[in-house]
Amino acid sequence: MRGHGDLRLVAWGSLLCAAVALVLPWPAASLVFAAPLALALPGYAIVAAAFAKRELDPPLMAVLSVALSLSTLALGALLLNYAPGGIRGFSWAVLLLLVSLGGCRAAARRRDGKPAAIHLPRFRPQRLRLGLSLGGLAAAVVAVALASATLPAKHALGFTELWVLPVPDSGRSEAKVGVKSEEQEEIEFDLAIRIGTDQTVRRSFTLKPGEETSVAIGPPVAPAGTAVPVVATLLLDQDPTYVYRRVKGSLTATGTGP
Amino acid sequence: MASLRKKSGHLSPIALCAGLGLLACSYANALSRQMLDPNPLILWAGILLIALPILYRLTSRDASPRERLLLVCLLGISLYGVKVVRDAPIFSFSDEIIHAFNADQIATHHHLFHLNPILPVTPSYPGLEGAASSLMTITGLSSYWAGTVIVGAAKVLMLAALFLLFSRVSGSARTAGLAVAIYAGNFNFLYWGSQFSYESLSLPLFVVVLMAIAERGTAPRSWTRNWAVPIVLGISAIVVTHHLTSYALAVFLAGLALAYWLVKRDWNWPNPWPYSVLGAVLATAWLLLVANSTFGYLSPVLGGAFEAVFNTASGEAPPRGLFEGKGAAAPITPVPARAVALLAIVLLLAALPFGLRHVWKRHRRNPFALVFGVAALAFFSTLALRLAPAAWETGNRAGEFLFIGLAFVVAGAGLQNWAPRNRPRVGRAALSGAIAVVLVGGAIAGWPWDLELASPVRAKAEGRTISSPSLALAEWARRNTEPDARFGAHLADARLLLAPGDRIAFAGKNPDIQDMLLELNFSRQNWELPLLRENGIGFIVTDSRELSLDATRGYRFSEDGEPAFPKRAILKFGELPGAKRIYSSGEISVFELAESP
Repeated sequence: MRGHGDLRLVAWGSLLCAAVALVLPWPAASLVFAAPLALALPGYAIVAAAFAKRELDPPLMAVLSVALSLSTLALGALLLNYAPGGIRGFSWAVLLLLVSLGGCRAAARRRDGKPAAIHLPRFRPQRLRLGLSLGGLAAAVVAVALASATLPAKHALGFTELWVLPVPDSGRSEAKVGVKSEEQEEIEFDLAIRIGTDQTVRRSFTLKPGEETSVAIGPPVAPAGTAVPVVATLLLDQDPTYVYRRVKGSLTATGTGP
Repeated sequence: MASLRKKSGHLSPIALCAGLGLLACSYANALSRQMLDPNPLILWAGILLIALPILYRLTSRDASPRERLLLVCLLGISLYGVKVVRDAPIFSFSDEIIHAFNADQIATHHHLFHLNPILPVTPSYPGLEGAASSLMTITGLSSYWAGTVIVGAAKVLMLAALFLLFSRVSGSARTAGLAVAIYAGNFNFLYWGSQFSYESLSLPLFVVVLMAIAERGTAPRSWTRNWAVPIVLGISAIVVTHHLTSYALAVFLAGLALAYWLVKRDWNWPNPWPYSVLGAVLATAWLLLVANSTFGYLSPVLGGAFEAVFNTASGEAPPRGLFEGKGAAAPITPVPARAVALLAIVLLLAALPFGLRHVWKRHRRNPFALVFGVAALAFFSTLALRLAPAAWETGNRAGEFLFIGLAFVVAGAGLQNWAPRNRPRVGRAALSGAIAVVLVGGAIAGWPWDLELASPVRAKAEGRTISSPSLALAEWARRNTEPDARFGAHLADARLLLAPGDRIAFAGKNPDIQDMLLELNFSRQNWELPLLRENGIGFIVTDSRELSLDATRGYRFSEDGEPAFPKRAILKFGELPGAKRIYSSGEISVFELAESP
């Protein structure tokens, strides 16, 4: 690839992008390197190899580079599906790197020994134009940030979730009763959990919007192997006569209960 | 530097307008997510702020081809931004949730072709999700952001490729720029075609293949083998990405081969018939070897469309009302909005004869132009399908392919040269306004009026985040149930259980979870329990909101006075032997079924 500046740039760029994108632990930062690796460089290398002895207009070259990069991604997943290890970050990076390096090497060998010079545009826009363009970009960034922001919605009806689920690996002898508030304001709750006919657990607590709490129950007092029903009832402290939520589950007694 | 400045032309202020327009759209959506019932004119003003400066500049004579290319790319990315600021950072279109689930499955299991319980055909066309998996696995991005980047790149690619295609066919960058702007007015461009769905990748590749064939046709014959590489790669990528696009490509290339023969009376180079055959063979092979479930997916849609057309034409069934959405929750589009949408069609129809005359006079020896002319005429015939209830979707989907031809033909109608009283600016302004009407009218016609702006699925309350009932259920399932847990639910709940819930959830008619959830009692034939057992469903999700049947609206927060299903339809699950209501959020309950229901 000696002398072919564009190919060297693509080859080394691919290597750098693959390595850095895999190493960086922050997805957004990693994307800065992964995007060219996935969306431009493999396609450029393929086009360079396919049209090694021809000269394409830069816009056509750019369109084909992105298109063939996307095609490589669509077809590359099929290849990786049958490769050892399957579809993983490392295998993707290696595949894209191989396509880029292979394309560049093929292009360098097929070119007529005339190294293609890189004509990077000397972009020195007027301050006003640069300011306007950056203003547009800033407005777009603010637009996406605003779209990503969670905003209050006072007319949305809030609610509270109540559930009972067995604790994993407890053989259903223990369970967790969970409460999560999706209400618009802080609320006081009373939770009553009846285990079988004799045992009752009561809790009173306050949950802010988005807050969650849970109560662990079990094992029940009963002969081993017996299925003991559990009924969890959630009441609003402000209106204890109204059953706000009720869920049911069961525990399997181990004979070693408290 | 001076030449570059000259080439950049008016791009900087136009870019500023596009950014501000996007901000206005985002503001309208922010108000909507706060349930403040914003004036939809804010959104449309934002879209016009994006589009009008670009359109006006595209009508000018002095913009360079490169500036026009940059302008159409700016138009594409800005209009894609309108969709992004509607939803960020969660998918809310019914199909994109399904594809997000597929992408998540690939990233989790490291292989393709995992089950999708709601749309089983989608894993058989893994091109888009495979592409998204590259960014997901390399960077750790979510399927939302990876998909947004991939579709955004594809969207810009499509408009750039369209510009080069139209430039090559028309020989005029000015006509090409206007044709691309007109194409942005197709019904599906703003929202449907911007979603994370397989067609959002396959359609841009379709355009690239057409562009490559057009370039190949004008290049020296010695370049034929060079062009084979991008064309074959593009066709192959389309075949593994989307069924309908691969069939449309084979048909389009067959039509193009025929047009070449009609013009040149020769099947040899540059007639593209080999690529038509290649497309047909690859699509058929993929259909038979990998994606045979496509038969079961497409045949009811297409069969239903034919039947509906016949029934409507014969008077056996009433025609579908225009601007009527599916479901009781779909409100009627306001009269002014309907008027804009109809005006857009009228403008396109009015320009059609002039465009066709131009094509015949200037380009009748160009096979591409002939095919575009036929496509333009065919587009208006697909409008008739909108009057038949079950054919609406078929007509709508065909429209975005045929609109390529229509855009080319209409751009040649000659209005850009209109200069009333020797004032070309008036003509340019009129043309810009007309294309803006097409753009806005297309967006109105292609997407339900009440969904143009976002609805909240998350909200801020006392400084913390709360979720809508369906989303809270999905988040709960993800946190508290086993990864292989299987649910049966209404359409909206099931989709969010797929993504972001990352659980298997069945919905709809196949298997018939929907009737099971809606009926007041279990049937005498007792088909329900075997069906649940057969599909390994351990959890049934009941939702009292009628909105949960709506896969486009059912994700949002509830409001006072929304219609509800009879309680009996929910309570019946508690009577099943061994079934327990283990989760309740008021409107939504989850029943855990006994291990052998």
